[in-house]
Amino acid sequence: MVVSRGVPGSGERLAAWLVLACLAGVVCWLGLTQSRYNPAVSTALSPPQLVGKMTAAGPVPATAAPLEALPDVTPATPVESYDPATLSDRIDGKAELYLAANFQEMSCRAFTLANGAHIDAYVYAQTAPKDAFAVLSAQRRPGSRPLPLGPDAYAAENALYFTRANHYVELVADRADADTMAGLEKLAGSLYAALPDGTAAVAPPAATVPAAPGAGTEVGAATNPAAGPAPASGPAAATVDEKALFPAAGLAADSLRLAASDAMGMAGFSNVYTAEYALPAGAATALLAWRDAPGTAAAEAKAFAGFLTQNGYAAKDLPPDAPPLPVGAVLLAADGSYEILWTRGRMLAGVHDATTVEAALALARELDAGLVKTLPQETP
Amino acid sequence: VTPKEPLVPPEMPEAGSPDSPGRRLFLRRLAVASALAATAGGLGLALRDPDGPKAGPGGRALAGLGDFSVAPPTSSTPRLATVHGTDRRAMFNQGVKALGGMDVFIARGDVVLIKVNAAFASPPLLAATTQPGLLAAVAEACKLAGAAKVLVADNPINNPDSCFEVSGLAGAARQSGAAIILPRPALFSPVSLPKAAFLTDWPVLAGAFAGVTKLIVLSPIKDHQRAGASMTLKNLYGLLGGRRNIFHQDINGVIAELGRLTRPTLCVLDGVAAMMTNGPTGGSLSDLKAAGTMILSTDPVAADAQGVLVLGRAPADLPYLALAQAAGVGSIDPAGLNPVTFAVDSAAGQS
Repeated sequence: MVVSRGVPGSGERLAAWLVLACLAGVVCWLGLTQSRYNPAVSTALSPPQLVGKMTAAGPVPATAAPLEALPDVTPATPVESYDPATLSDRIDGKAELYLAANFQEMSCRAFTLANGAHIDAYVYAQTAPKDAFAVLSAQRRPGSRPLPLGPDAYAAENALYFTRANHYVELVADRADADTMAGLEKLAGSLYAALPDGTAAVAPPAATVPAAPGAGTEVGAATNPAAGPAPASGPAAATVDEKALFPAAGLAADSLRLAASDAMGMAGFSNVYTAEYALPAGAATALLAWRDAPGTAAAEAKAFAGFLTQNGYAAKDLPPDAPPLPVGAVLLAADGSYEILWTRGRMLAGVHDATTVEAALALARELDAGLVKTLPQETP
Repeated sequence: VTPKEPLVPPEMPEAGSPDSPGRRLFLRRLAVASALAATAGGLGLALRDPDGPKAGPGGRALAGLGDFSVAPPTSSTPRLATVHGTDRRAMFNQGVKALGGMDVFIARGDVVLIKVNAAFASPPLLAATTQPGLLAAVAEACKLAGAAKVLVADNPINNPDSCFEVSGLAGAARQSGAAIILPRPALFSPVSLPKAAFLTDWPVLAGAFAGVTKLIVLSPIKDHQRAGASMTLKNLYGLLGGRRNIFHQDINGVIAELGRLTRPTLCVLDGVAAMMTNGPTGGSLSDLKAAGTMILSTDPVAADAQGVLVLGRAPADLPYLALAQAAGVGSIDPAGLNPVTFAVDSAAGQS
């Protein structure tokens, strides 16, 4: 075989120089690019670990399952789940609101509706139905539209909120139009059906206290999701639904709330229901808190009165036209604000921040009359 | 005539034989190339630093992220502007003009870091994050003033890519030629503020400040479940890494210390649509109010003290403001800042 190693021709030299020039150009381009290095590139190549991403090895959160297969929507992201230690990674400072109401876990997922709307769905699992009501009521948007989905369900312009058993659900859209709202309501129906109704998780009550007249259809229902704690034992054992004990007259729509903790600004004053009233004599807020023993209720009433006194309120004698409140009832006043506190057995009751003493007395009369009628076992 | 035998020079070994010059040349070149590749690879391995750059000289914690404040051109130049309107670009441009103009804050060749609030993967409609339109306006104004580079950063902790994309901030950055710095472990360095109660040896997004000469903080005005309100100082919380939620137990203390972490060149508070309730996430349009206000200041405490008024609350409702003022971060009382207030119509700032 002949090996010929002739001298390269001018064409070959030209081709070689061209190749070398291209390589030199690539080197220059690389150098220039590196000098303008964007840190985002390396992050994209090695993205940070997602805090909320579920791992196959761990247990699947119960709140994730309802978000897995919902009809009429297209999932835009995987389901992400959070526990009490990681919740703030997702919702930052709002986590405390849920943690204070016995938060267990949260799962969320983004969906796309047929009209292109982006929907963020959040399913929070609190410990008990009353905890779910607490987080819903703490965030209730005034003037919102009630929904037939459940007793607490409501819609804002671009969002929809409801509870089912111990679950609190938020569906938030990136737009506010009729088509999107129709899609939201359809999605809410599917999600509501996919959530457990709580009958397996919530023990049936030993007995049910009758509903107060005119207090709403859900009042006193044994499966009421916001039912109060059941007394441990005894002949007077009953499930007390504080929500049903507020008088209907003058009650401001959507004003019923449950403060899971630090009610009225007092640390440690927890699980207090409040409702706002517009009465002929002025505005006032009624409060109710069911406790496990009469002594506990009385001690907390005294502590709250002390807290008010520290903040500028002064005790006054109840006027002659005051309702026949139990021994120990107190009236406090400060700069056009009036408070009345008393207990009926295990129930702590009160009127908070009334604008006139007449409004305070009128609301106290109505509230206490309902307690006497509905909780006879608490009225010796 | 075709020779019967191949024409091979008598001294030339047959090609392919061990003594072939072509084979020897090939092997020699292969050896040289392999040696070069091994040297380059070895050099790369030898120079590789798997731990990234140290936190500071000797690997000690940083004492802060730096002072990026600028002096006003004259003592009478306003350092606080409250602008009313609806067009964020116009409001920003006119607000900066009232503070002396963009040239006061940005010089030719500056590397500007814009700290946004990208805490949530939330659409701009919900006003839980910095508005993309405002980011674009500020980034373009920086470029126009001669900034060599505009960077955008935040540490949302959860899925930063998603937060920047869904909030529209990634698109705004792309549109305005700014580069987004997404958080990654190598960008965090420990910081220990002098005499700090909270920020001691705590990981902070210091890598985003490399080469930075100016810092602009863009914050929405929001209600905040824990802190009362989220504005400039609370926005700096987004520079922290680690399990920062432990600070929620003393949120006022840590926010006040954040004021000592760095001194911004300019603070911009966006209250065109302010989140009045259910913050910091919001979620419903009914949480928002068309407050039509933007506040610009060189003083983060003064800016926040004015911003909280938009929420219908008083500076005294935010204990961290008094703590920050006591620490010398700024002044709650705007009197010394020659404050100005004016309204801008939507056409005024189109430039």
